[in-house]
Order: sequence, then structure tokens, then C-alpha cells
Amino acid sequence: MKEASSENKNQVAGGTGPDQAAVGEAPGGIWSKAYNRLEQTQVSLERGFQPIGEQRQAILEERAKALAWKPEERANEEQIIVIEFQLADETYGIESGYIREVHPLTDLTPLPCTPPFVLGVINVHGQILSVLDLKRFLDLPDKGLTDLNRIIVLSSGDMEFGILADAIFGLKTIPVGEIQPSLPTLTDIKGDFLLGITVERTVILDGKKILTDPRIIVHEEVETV
Amino acid sequence: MKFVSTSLKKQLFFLFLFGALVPFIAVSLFTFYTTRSALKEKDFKELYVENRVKKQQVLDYLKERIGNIEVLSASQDVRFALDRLNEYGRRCAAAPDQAFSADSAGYIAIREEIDRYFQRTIETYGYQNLYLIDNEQGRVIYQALEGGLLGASLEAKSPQGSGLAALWKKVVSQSRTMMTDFGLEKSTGEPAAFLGAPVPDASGGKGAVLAMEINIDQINGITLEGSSRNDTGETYLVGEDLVMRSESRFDLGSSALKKVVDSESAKKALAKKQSTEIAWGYRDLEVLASYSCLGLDEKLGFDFDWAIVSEIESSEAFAATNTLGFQILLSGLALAALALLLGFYSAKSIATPLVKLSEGVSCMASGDLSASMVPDQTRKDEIGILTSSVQHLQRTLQEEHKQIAEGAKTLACSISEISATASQLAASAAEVSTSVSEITTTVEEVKQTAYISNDKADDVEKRAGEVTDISEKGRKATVEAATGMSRIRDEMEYVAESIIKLSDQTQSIGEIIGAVNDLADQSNLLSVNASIEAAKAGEYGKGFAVVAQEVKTLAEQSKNATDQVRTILNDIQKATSTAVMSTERGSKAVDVGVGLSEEAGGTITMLSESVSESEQAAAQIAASSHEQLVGIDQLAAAMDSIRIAMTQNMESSKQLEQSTSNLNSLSQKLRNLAERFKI
Repeated sequence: MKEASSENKNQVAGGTGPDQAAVGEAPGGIWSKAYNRLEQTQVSLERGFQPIGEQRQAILEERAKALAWKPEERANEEQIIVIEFQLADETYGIESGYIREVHPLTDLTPLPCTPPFVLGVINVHGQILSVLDLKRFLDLPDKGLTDLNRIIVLSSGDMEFGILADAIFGLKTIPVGEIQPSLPTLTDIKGDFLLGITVERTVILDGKKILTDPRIIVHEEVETV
Repeated sequence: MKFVSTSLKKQLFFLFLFGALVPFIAVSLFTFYTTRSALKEKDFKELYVENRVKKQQVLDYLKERIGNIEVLSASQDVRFALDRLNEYGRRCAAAPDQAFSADSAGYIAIREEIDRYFQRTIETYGYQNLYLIDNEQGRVIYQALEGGLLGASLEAKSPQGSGLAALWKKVVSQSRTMMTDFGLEKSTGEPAAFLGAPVPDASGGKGAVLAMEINIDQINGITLEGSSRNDTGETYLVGEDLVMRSESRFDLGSSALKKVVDSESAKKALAKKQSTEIAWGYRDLEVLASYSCLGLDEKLGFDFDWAIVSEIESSEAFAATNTLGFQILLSGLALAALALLLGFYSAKSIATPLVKLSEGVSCMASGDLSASMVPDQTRKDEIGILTSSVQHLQRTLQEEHKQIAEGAKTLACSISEISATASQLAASAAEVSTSVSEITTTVEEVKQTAYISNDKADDVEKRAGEVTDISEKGRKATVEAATGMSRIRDEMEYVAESIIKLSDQTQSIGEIIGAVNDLADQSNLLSVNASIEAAKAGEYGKGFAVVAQEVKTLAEQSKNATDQVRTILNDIQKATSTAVMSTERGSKAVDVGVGLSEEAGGTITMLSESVSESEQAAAQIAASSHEQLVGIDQLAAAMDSIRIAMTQNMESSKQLEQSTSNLNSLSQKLRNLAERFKI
């Protein structure tokens, strides 16, 4: 798929580029080039865009290399698995233990008479979950909702709700030692939610605190009740 | 001479005098001498003619008498008379010696019988008397008029009728007609001459002599005839004894046979000479004399001769000449006096104003133009005109000198200006000359260029023909181009349709890609969820975590691929849009091209026409170029002429400069001259 698209791209680029450059050339030259291209494309189509020859070999080798890479083992070191996601322009992470699943943001139903950080409710596998927007707590700029927004469903047994993420990067294993404690200057809810920050500037949020934060719960409960 | 030469008046005076007198004297002298000689000649001729006429008249008279007597002597009447007388003589004469009786009755009867005839003869011819003389005894037997001789014998009475007796003897002895010279007849005391002719006796008897006494008055009548025409002219006869035989007009009645003429002319005439000359006359006076002899002895056979002399006094002959001389002298004197007077007044009249004029003109000549000259207004002749003209001249000169003085100043200024101008002109001429040289060079270059352009024009003319063909081809090509363009338009429409199809297909691909993208997203999320589940499973879930990771990777790759495809599709879309626009533009361009090609067709047709016009124009240009070439040749020649002319001009301007400086000095002189005059 990648090869074919690049092929197409090349074809388009090759089709347009020389077209402009070949204004001064003999028309026969352009047309023969065009016919060559079309022929190659036809061939590619017939083969199902399979890479051929060296190209195929190179792709395979690269893949093999990637697969051969082994992450550095740190056996004597405590590790946590976090899920990294994007809020505004920053990368945040939440320990995977507090996460039930991720879900695309579909069919968001706004709720009236709710605080601003409550976006609404969605239906996940038949379960109605409220969606919170952490950016309200973290004083991050609102970028609006798109199809790319995801819902991370946090769960701690008795508490389950979704938080809005602009994008989800995936799971990552992070040594605990690399996590630096949160800045003492940060107070308020920010300081409460923050667990630390990695060297890769991923802000690790404390899923437990978020799940157990009374401000969320109380309000929600009061409101919902 | 100096006295005369210094004064016009005197000169004129003497000139008048000489002019009047000298021709007069010359003419007078000439006239006088010519006239005198002519008059003298005339007088001589008249005298000569007179002499000859009279001579002839005398001779004629004598001849007539001779003829007359000879006729008479031979006539019947005389014979009859003689017969009767002889008969009477024989009858009554007793003795032959006796005197012839004339008293008898018989004689008277006879006489009465014959007398009438003889009487008539005497009357008719004017004879003094008529005699018949007996041959034998010499007796006068008949006498017409009364006289004492009748009957007497001549021999016996010779003293009484000496003339008649001499005649009788001559006739008897000679037996022919004879005449005696005049002599004084003793019986009458008057001059008488006798003419006698023998009368033969028919009966054989004695003959007789018929004698006639010639009357001297008849001779005188001849010689004196016409003497009244002048005062002193006369003609007379001179006998051999130098005694006159005719009467002189100065001494009538007493000169014949009495006056002795002892003059040279008479002597020369008697010596048979004849001439007309000035001589001394018999009256001791200077006369003009014409003389000759009658030649009686030669012409009539007489025994004597006469001279005939015609004379006129010199005083009378030359009286007209002398009068003429006197008159000429007198008129000369009068003329001289008149000339003197006229000369004096004329000289005065001419000279006086001239003297005044000369004084005035002298003053003017010495530079004083202010000298006054009063003209004589009364004179209308040339002097008056001259005077007024001189005065006018004076005024004119004054005016002119003023003007000349001013003119000289102006001239000086003008000359300085001219001099400056001439210098400038010379400089300009030099510049112009240089320019002309440059122009000449340029013209030469132009000429070369013109030759080249001429060749080019010929080339162009050839090319124009070729261009006409090419334009024709071009026109066809544009028609084909138009056809091609419409075909292109069709092709372009087809291309547009193809592009629309391509665009639709691209859209389909985009939709497919969207679906694939969703799948990739869901796969990604699924992998994350799987990872989460794996993490929850702890150590057991590690293998699943790897799978989940792999799924995630694949999902990401799929997403990347779909992104790439989308990008490519975007590019394709853009390219398609570009292609559509390009095609549209192309289509419009083709439309425009069709229009343009039609336009081009029209234009090329026009071009073709223009080209053919150009061809004609090129031909004209070629012709014009030829003419231009000729013109430029002429121009070159003309420029050469101009160059030469400019050279001359330059020299002329130099000369002009020179002339101007001369003129300057001249004007200076002129000014000096003008200043010399006093106005």
C-alpha cells in the first residue's frame, strides 16, 4: 500500500513536473513518456501494487530490522505502562491500569446544566458514560471536537467515565525512575492530578486521583442526582 | 595773339569778322575772275560771230549781184535790147567813131521799149545805175538813169568814167563777170563800184557789156546793221589801200574811201589772217577787234580784196566786268561793316554772361559753392539756359555735397559694418567651405550607400516576387491551420471528458480511501485496547501486547498509506483541476486560435495583396533607386561645383575684405573731399 501510493505520487509528480518542464520539448517526447507511465501503471495495477525486485527486498529488510530491534531490558527497575495521548499540543500519559479502553468519540450528547468540563455523554457498548474535558482543569486551550478525538475510558471499579483526548499515541513502558516529581510550584487541581514528567516531556497524570477527585465526583453525582 | 587768346569776346569778334570776310573775299575773287573771263569770252565770241556774219552777208550780197547780173546778161530782154540798140546803131550811126546819138527819136523809141524792164530791175535790186556798153567802141549805149555818159565812148572819156572804163576793159579782156573796187566817181564825187558781165551777141555781131553801179549804201546797210545794240561796236571794210570801204558809225558820210585805217588788225586781215584780239583801233583806243579778209579774189575771182574788221571798245566790252568788280567791292565793304557790328554785339552778348558764369564757376571750382550767380531771366536761349542750368547745378551741387558729406559719414559707418561683415563672411565662407567638403565626402558616402541600396532594391524586387509565392503558401497553410485547429478543439473536448471521468474515479478512490482510513483508525484503537487488555493481563499478556503493538503499527502504517493516498489524490485532484483549467484554456485558446487562424488567413491574404503591392512598390523603389542614383551622381557633381564655388566664394570674400579696406580709404578721401567744399 505504501509502495503503491508512493508510486502514484511519483507518477503524478512525474506526470506534472515534466509536463511543465517539457513545454519546449518535442511533443512526441512528452507523449511517449506519458504512454510509458501509463504502461507502468497498468503493469503495477495488474500485479496489485506489489513491489517488485529490489524494492520488495529493501522493504522486507527494513521490516526485518525493525522487528529485530529489542528494547533495553531493565529488570531491576520498576516500570509502569502508560497510555500516551494528546491534549492540545502537549503529550500526557495515564497509567494503563486505570484505563478500561479507548473509544472513538461518536454520538456525543451534550448534557444541559452541567459544569463546563462535562462535555456530554456517549454510548460505549451500550453503557452510558460521561465525557470530561481535562483541558478545562489543566487550563489548556480548547481545540474543538473532530472525528479524530478519542475517548479514554477511565475505570476504577466503582468509577468509570471518559476523558477527551485529541489523539492517542499508544501504550508506552516508562521506568518509574525516569519520572520526575511534579513541580512544587504547581498547586490547585493541576498539582493534584500531576504525577510527574518524563524526560520525553510526557506529563504523567495520576489516574487514581482523577478517578477519585471529589470535585469531579461530587459535582457529577450532585448534578446527575 | 595773346591779346586775342585771353578774351572770348575778342576771339568771337575776330572769328565773326574772319568768318564773314574770308569766304566773301574768296567767293568774290573767284566770281569776279570767272565772270570776267566768261564775259570776255562771250564778248570775243559775239565779236567773232558779228565779224563772220557780216563777212558772209557782204559776200552773199556780192554773189547775189553777180548771179543777178549774169542772169540778166543772158536774158532775152537784154539780148533783145542789145539787138535793137545794135540795129539802131548800125542804122543811124554814120561813122563808127561817132558818138552814139541818144537824142534821136529812134533811140527814144527803143529806149521807151526797153526802159521799163531795166528800170524795174534797178528798182528791184537797188542798183545805182545800169549801163550797156558797146563792146567794140566802148560806148555807153544804154544808161538806165540820167547821166552824162550815154553815147560817149569810155575810151575817149576815160577820166570821166574811170571806174566804168576800168570795168569795161576788164570784162572785155577777161570775157567774164568782173567788178571794180570802190572809187570816187569824178562825175558825182561819190564812191562807186561797178559790176559787169559780157552780153554775147546772138546774131554774131558785136557783144556788149552789161554794167551796174553798186550802191555803197547797201554795203553800209550791211556793215552798220545792228550798230544800235551797243555804243561803240562797229564793223567796217578796208580796202587794200588801208582806206575804209564802208562808213564808220562815228563818222557817217565822210569815212568811206576817206578814212585811213592804219591799224594792226586791218593789216593782218589784208595779209589773209584772221583773229579776235585786243588791239589798238584806228581811233587810238583800246578795242576788241575781230578781223578777217573777205577773199574776193579767191572766191569771186576779182582782182582786189577787202578786209572786214569788227571792233568794240574795251571800255564798253568790259564795262559789265568792271561794274561787277565794283559792286562786289562795295558789298564786301558793307558786309564787313555789318560783320563788325554783328560780331561785336554777338561776342558781347555771348561773352558777358559767360564771363560772369566763368567767374562763378571758378569760385565753385575753388570750392566755394555759395558764390551767387544771378541768372539773366530774360534770356531764353542757350546762354540763358546755361546760366540757369549752372545755377541749378550749383544748387544741386550744394545739395549733393551736403548729401555726399552725410553719405560719406554713412558710408564710413557702413563700410566698417561691411568690413566686419566681410570678415565674418570670410570666416563663414571658410566654415562653409569646410562643411561643403564634409558634405561632399558625405555625398560620396551617400553615393556609395545609394549604390548599395540600389543593389538592395534590386534584390528586394527579386525577393518580393519570392515573398509573393511564400505568402500564397502561407495562406494555404493558414487554411490548413484553421482545419487543424478545429480538430484540436474536438480533441480538447474529448480530453475534457476524459479528465471528468478521471476526476470521478479519483472521487471514488477518495471515498474508498476514507473507508480504509476509518478502518485504520478503528484498528489503531483496537490495538490500543488490545494493548490495554494485554497490560491488564500482566505477564501473560505480554505476547498479546506484542501482537497488539504490531497491529497498532500496521494500523498506523495503513493510516500513513491512506494519508499518502489522500495526499496523492489531492494532488491528482489539483492536477485534474489544473488539467481541466488547462484544457479549458486550451479549448479557449483553440477557439481563439481558430479565430486567429482565420484572422491569419485574412491577414495573410491581405499580406499577399500587400506583398504584391510591395512587389510593385519594390519595383518602383528599384526604379526610384536608379533615379536616386542618377540624382545622387548629379548631387555629387553639384556638390563638387558648390565646393569649387565655395572656394571661389572664399577667395571672393578675401577680395571683398581687401576691397572693403580700399573702400574705407576711399570713403576717407571722399569725406576729406566733401569737407573741402564750402556750402
